[in-house]
Amino acid sequence: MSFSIAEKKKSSCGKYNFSIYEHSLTFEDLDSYILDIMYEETNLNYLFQKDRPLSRKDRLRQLRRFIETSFENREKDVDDDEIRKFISDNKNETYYSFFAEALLARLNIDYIDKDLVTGVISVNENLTKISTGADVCMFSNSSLVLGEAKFYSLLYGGVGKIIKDVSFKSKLEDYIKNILNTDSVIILKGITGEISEKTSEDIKKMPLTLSGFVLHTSETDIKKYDTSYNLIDKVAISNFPTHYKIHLYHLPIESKNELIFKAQRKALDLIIKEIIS
Amino acid sequence: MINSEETILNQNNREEVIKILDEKKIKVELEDLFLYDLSPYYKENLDNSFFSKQLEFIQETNQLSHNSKISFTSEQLKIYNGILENRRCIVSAPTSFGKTMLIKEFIFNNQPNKVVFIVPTNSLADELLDDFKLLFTALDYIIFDSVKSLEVISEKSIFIGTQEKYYNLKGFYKEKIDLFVIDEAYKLTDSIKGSREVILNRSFIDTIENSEKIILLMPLVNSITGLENFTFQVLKSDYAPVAKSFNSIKKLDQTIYQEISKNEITNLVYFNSPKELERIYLSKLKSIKNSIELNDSWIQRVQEDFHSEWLPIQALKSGIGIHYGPMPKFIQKKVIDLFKSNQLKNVLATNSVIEGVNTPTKNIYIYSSRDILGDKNLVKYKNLIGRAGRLGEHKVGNIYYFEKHQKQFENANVSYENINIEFLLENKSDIIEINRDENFDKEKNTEGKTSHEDKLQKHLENSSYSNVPSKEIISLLNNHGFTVNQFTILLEYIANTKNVLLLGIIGKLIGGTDINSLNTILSSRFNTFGSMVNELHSKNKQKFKSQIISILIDMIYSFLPFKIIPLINFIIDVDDLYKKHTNKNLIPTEVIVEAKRKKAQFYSKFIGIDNPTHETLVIMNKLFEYGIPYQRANPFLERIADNLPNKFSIHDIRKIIFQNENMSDLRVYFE
Repeated sequence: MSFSIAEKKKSSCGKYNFSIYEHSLTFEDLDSYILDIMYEETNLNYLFQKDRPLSRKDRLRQLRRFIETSFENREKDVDDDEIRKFISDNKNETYYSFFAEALLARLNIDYIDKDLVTGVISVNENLTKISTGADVCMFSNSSLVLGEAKFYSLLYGGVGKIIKDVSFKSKLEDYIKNILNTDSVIILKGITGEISEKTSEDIKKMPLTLSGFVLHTSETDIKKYDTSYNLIDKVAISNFPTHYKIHLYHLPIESKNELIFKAQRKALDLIIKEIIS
Repeated sequence: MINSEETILNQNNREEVIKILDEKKIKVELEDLFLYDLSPYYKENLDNSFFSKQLEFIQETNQLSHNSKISFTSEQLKIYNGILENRRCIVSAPTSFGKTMLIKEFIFNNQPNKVVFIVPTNSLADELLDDFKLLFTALDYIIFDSVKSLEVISEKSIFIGTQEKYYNLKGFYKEKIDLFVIDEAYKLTDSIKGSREVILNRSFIDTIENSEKIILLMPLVNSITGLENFTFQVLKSDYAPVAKSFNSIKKLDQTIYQEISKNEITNLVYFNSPKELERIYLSKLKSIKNSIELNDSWIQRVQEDFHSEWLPIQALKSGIGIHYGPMPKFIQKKVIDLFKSNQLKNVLATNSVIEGVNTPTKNIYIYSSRDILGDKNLVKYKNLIGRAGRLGEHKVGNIYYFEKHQKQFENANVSYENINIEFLLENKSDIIEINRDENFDKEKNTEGKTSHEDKLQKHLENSSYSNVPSKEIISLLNNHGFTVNQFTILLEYIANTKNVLLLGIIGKLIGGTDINSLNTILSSRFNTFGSMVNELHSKNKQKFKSQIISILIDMIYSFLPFKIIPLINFIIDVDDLYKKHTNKNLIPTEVIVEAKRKKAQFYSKFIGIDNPTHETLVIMNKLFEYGIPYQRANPFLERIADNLPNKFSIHDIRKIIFQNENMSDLRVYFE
């Protein structure tokens, strides 16, 4: 399965090209695709510990991050009703939002730079808030990626929602401002602990990709969806350097709760399979 | 493993982040904690992000095998991997780094057969024995510090004890020791003052080649030199998961009074000596009455065995703990246990608490500058302040000192980069001083001209011992832990003194002794502790009774058994060796007779037997070391001896006491 680039557009923040990937899939296919690319052994291990060999214990630990804590170590006994009940009882708006972030990290690796790892970047000398504040922060030797992932339960707004998201925009603008103004050494620390230091000159030269990602639940009011979906030309970020890029991903899904259910069910099944083998 | 000071990733900034966490005014993001390796604080900050999930995974991956509630930080993991990779290593890290935890994890994962873990004090040994027993008995380890009958040690075992205890056993490790650890190994660099330093150095030197793996644990220092020829890998980290805050106060004594009276947070007040501690308690703190729940039978027993007017007991009843050297160990243990469990908020302490046990606290007040502040006591100072703050309880530890001590404080409170440790092993004059063995000396002697034996021979050529073979002298000194210098002082005193006296020898080799106390202690006229106190108080009414009690306890439980008796044994052997080669006595017979009488008096009065067997002596010593008076333990001695395994610790004795109904009288010492 692959996505094809359907169109390239320019945004209002400069002369930058944006790629719009399009695909035609059923919602079910898409759910299945999402879970396949997330849970595939090598893929998942890469997100947690790039380059380290995967042990059976590690595989279980990684998969268990996608299920409720109360399901751990009794995976075989958890039935569908219990999962559904857990999801329906949960009133927290951000419940399972980590899934969108993990998926964004995955897509960044697949579509921007295969060597990207998640980590933190210290961009100013303030001891706290040294990190970017972005949902996903990734880097490789040759690129930096900052991403904001949203897991909306309404379809209305499409990509426009993330484009207009004030927190996303202000975080990115702050980051760019800090990067451009800093003279101090910048530290990049990957999730497995490796630390690299870059001079401010190095970091300014590095291409930065801003990636936004939305998982939207489908709804009946398709009209609003159509009008707010394709809004790339509304992207407006101040002081955007010419070698920076923006990637926006928009994945409509049939139902947020159903995807969460499937994600937990699949993780549970994979755990059970690991335990039996 | 030490992060560059040029980047923001250093311990100072880490501590600033911990302080911000502690204040709770600003939210510290999980990303910031990750950047500074503050994984112990992840748990309280985890959220719904994928980054949080990634950190959860790392925490699980780094979980300790021996305790799944704790995960290695990445710094600890680096040091642990260094330990795995190197046969000989020195771990240099701050007090709260978790050095002992690294050793436990190594033993748990690798299960070396014979482990020797040398610690500086019996109190620390007991604490570790307790801990190790819980952890390693299930892995079929025998955990011990004493042996009933001496035999080859070959089974899966962990010895945890002082250098003196190890020194007595080291000859029974016929096969290589699989893991040899010295805690607070910087003590190997202390100047040689007496047998403690000699025996520690000898233990180390004699075991280097007889160990598969050696780990030396010490505080964080900048450089460690002197061990280059032994291929030790230095594993260093400045990582500490708690922060320190330093404050000078003009009227520190008033603050101490107020804080102790509040009785809310844990406070440790450091004094230079027991004398100073008692003086300040009596003049400034005695009026404080804090509530505390104490077992009546325990208080009653201590008062019966020692004295109701003894300050540590009076203070404890007022909710203030006192911890200093001249104190039976079970009482020290009680104070520390109450402090650790937060039932006791305030402890006044001396040096004993630095090397003693793990006593984390929120606040430390340094009352005196002597011997702790200033540039000569850097490691000791670091060890003291390392007790401020406790992971999981106090993120930030406070250290308070008198404003008038600001200069001394600045001299002491230097970065680890200004602390350099130099082992004596390459210093030839100290090789003689410590009386190193021949192999070592040869290896170190680059000139290759004279052997250690020749040097010793030359050193003693004009003395009365010039005809005794050097080998035998070396063996004599090694056995007793005496230095060549001390030996020379003894020979010179005998040669130059008309009227040689036992007290004169004691004075020359150990220092001044309170003859009144010594005679009263050894006299059969005074059978109870109370009667000894009354006798001495009647002779010196100006002294506080409590001071007399402390002096007596120190002499009975420390000075006599660990200084005087070893000296007596030494001079008896010095005389015997001389006689063997010259057919003459070196030391006047009456001095030897008096020495033997004093030894017998001590054994008879305090151990209960004139000429104890090794087995009885070891067990009685153990009980005595713990502070249980002979009269209490004697009725049960045989029963305890029968039930004890050959290799044992105080915990095995406790077990037997609690298993036997008729020994209930002794249980109070362990409650």
